[in-house]
Amino acid sequence: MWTYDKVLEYPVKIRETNTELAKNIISQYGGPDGELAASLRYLSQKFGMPDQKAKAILNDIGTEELAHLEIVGTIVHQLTRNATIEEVERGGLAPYYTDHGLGVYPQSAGGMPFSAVALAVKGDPIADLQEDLAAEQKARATYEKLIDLCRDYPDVLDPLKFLREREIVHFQRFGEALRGVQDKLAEKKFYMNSNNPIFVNNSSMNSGMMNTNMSNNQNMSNGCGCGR
Amino acid sequence: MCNCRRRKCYCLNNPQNTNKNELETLCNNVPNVPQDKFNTNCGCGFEDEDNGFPSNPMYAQSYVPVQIMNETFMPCAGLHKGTIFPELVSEYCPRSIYGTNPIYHGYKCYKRRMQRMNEDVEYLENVENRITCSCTCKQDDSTREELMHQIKCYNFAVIELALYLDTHPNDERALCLHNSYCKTLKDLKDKYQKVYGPLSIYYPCNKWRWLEEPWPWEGGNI
Repeated sequence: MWTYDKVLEYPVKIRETNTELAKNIISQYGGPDGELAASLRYLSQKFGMPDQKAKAILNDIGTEELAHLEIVGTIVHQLTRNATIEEVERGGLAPYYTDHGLGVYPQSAGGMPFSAVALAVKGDPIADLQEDLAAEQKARATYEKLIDLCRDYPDVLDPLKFLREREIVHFQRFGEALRGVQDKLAEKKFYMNSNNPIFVNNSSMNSGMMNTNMSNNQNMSNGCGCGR
Repeated sequence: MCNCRRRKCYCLNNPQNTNKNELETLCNNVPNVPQDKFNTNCGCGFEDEDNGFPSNPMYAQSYVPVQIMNETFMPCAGLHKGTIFPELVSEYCPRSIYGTNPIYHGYKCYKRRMQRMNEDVEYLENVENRITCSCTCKQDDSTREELMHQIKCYNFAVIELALYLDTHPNDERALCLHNSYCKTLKDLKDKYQKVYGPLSIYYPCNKWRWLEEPWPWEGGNI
């Protein structure tokens, strides 16, 4: 269940209108690698996770991404709230203005409305966590592009740099959750033959649950049971 | 892997100069738990780790090294940098398109090199320096802004530690810090909400001040 705290995670104080920047930053709101996609992806994947750490981290990072969604929405709002019609036209926001006025609509920088096509929930822990790692890198890369574009505006740079650093930290956490799942992978094969501790280094045995399950039976006599 | 021949290497793992004033000293005497959380009970040496990686990695899997918390920043320094862990700080400087690596140009924040170009010195002074701060996190909560700043910092530190504890549930030092920050945060929030209105709908009040403007996206509670 979610509570709303009436505080932004990171302060956003933008004093000047800038419609061109808003046009690009909206991509992190409703774009394919944006915060909405990220939070929906993590909060949906958590249901299919068997591992305790993975469930917890998906839940908590998904929650934090909702907070980031609010920050990005705030940035776009503060960049456009006092825009004159001339500024809207000059910034290339006229099509957006036609459909959404000065509101904040979840769409990509190219104008595509938000769609869940951007995310995947495979129900497979390794696949899902690898997708999350990729998603964090994409988000980080997008923030770097935005930082390149907003390089001369410190008011906007400040929250963008914060958000970029958060993506890096999230990547690290997902990596650790993946390690937890990978260890469980090995564990699963292990207790089928716990008496024999000899390590068999068999490089022809590839990883992946299918192969190790099959070859485990062959190795019962001399393998250590961890399927490798 | 860094090919440091002729000192042309820029190891991304070099920690940027950490200001000692920004480091947290609470819970310093609490040890982290020894690294046996990946105890698979398998005698084949899979539980051995080398620099955060398993020493017998499986093929067709990718591994991220596990971070073990060392020193942390004070909450305010952490909020400003985006993380309380110095080893996870990563700088991105949009102007440094120098050097021969076109892939990650923004990661080479050579200020020394930038100073040769006059226009970038001005950029540094006007833009980058305006967003740096020497946060020492003095416990000053005399004005509303300062109180709110403290709340933001501790709130962030709690979130950071919660994420770390999700993947390192046995880390004692992290738990100790989280405990301490939660208590401080609770006190600060109580102080703030009594005077300036509720920060969540669960705060009991005599008058429904929850809907007072401005809301956070309009500059409220900044």
